Amino acid sequence: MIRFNSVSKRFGNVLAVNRVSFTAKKGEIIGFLGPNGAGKTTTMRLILGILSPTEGEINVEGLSPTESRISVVKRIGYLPENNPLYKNMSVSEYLKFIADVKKDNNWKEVVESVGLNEKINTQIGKLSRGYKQRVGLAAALISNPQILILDEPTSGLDPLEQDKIKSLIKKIGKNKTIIFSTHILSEAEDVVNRVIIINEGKIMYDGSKPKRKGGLDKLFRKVIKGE
Amino acid sequence: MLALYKKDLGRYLNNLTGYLSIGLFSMIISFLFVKDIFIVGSVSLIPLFDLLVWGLAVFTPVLSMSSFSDEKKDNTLEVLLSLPVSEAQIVASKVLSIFTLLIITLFLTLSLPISISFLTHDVYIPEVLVGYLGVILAGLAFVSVSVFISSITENRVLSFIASLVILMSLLLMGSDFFASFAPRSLQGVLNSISPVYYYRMFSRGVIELKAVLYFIAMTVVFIFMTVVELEKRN
Repeated sequence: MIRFNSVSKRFGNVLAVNRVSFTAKKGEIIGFLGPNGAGKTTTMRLILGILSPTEGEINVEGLSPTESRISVVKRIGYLPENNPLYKNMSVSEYLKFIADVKKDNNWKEVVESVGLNEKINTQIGKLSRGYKQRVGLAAALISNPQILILDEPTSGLDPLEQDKIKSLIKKIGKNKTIIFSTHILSEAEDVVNRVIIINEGKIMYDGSKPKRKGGLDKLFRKVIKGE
Repeated sequence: MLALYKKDLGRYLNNLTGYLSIGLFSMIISFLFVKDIFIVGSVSLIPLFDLLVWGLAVFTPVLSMSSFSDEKKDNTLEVLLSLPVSEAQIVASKVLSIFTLLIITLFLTLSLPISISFLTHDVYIPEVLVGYLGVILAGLAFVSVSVFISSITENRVLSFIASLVILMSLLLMGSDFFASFAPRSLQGVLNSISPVYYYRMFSRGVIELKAVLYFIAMTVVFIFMTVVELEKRN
């Protein structure tokens, strides 16, 4: 479980996250939506303890990420924005490195589950964007973490690749807490069961996903643009 | 920690640049040393140790410049920080992997004292070993300075230049050339700051506790500063 209690994060004069409060429970796939620069990535970095809050309290499975970063990240699989990877490594070298650090020997099962078998010996720099995204996702899934933080996991992918990643997230999300950020609404619509809309660092909406197709788009416009 | 070390070392050993840097450094040092033997006509290993410390002031920034700069530029530092490893382990792995390369490089230069010992039968082995201990300690300290500089910038060229300037300035402070210009009252202070003063004890075959402590303290201080830099959560 993740709990944010009136959390703010300030960078100089810029208030990136403004008194954000929410709770994410097991089995929830939360679409963390908002325009670019809304505070989505900052919030995700706060969950992992990569950033510390200026104000407020964060609790991940009973631990504070600022005080116990290592214990917290053991429970989280993270796919950062733009999916940074070591491009000179092969897929197997990279995933074995992540598995060694996470002390998990079952990385080959993850390779199979994300469909990377045929590219296992390919250098990461030579992979297509879709396959790179799978490598990032595989790295996040190693050690079977109970929480997944996925920052724009389908960004820049073609529709076919997007569908594959989305169905993968749905499949693995049944017994986990997943926070999935995106600024493209159609990406979230098929996957999430709860929606948090953030803008200018503030939570503008936190509730269930609209049932009608295209309802999320309407909700977003209403919340962000007041249409 | 071992996984991090293997990854960092592999970054150098899995491409040609790492081998080229090592080979080039050993070749340049060997050439300059052998050239001096023919010009001066006397065989002493002191010039080799002098060459090595100045060479390290260029070589360690070359090896270290991308250590953190590239991780920051490519955002892979965020990947590392999302893994269950401490900042100290991340820094130690970088320093140790570069230090390993340094040891390999220094091993290659051992051919010089070995050749000289065959030619002159006038090489006192313990003196050579103490000289190399000095090179190793100075090298480790220089690596920690360069890794720290790399941790404060995303630009590897800037990291190289800044490390080079700092290390060269430290060496120049203790050089005879600089001493001839500096006021006499300042010379003592500059000597006590410069690695040259302490390094010379080793290159002349003497192990002094204050010299060992100087290089260890320099290493620890810069490693600590790098860890603090990574721990900033701003």
